[in-house]
Amino acid sequence: MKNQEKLLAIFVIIATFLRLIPHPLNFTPITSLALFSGVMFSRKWMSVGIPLVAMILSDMVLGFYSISLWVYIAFISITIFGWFINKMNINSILLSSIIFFIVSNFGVWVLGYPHTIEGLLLCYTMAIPFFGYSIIGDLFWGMTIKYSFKFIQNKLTWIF
Amino acid sequence: MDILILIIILLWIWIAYEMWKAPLLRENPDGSWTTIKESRKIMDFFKKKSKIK
Repeated sequence: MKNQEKLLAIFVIIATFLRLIPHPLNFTPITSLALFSGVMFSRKWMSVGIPLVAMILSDMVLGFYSISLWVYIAFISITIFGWFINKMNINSILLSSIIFFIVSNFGVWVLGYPHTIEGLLLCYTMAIPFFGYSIIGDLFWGMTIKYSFKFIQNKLTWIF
Repeated sequence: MDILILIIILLWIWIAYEMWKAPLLRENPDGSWTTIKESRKIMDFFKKKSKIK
């Protein structure tokens, strides 16, 4: 493993465990972390594997819930999106938020709502207030993760 | 990793399919449901829409 990848891996694991700090609803670094991993890791298996294992470990502390699997699917979808988009800016973070919204709420619909168009619309409508927190959280964490990593990387130039 | 991309694409197709095939119902005052639009099947996707003149 290269030094930069080691630093990335440590950074991603620490960022994942920020979920354990008390936070407002949906104000977590999950989406931005998935995008960050997809964009930054040069080896694709690492971009999916390291944050996913860290997520599962943090879920062991927080507790698994019925839509955990859908959160992981959304997480992997965003990471793959990061491979192709290859940059982390406001647009890509907003698109990631939308991917997370669609996939995670589809899981909620499958598990807890009638399988009808009304059920689908009700499920997504009920989720809209949470989506606001998600967007704010994703933008905040996205920029924080991106620029703090750049800052640390610049401070540790003697390693690279 | 190509397999992972394929799995995710298939999952997204399944998500779109489940949303597309969901039936449209209307709840009646007595609590029962009336079907307005039946649940669609895959074959419906390939059927030609009849033109009404």
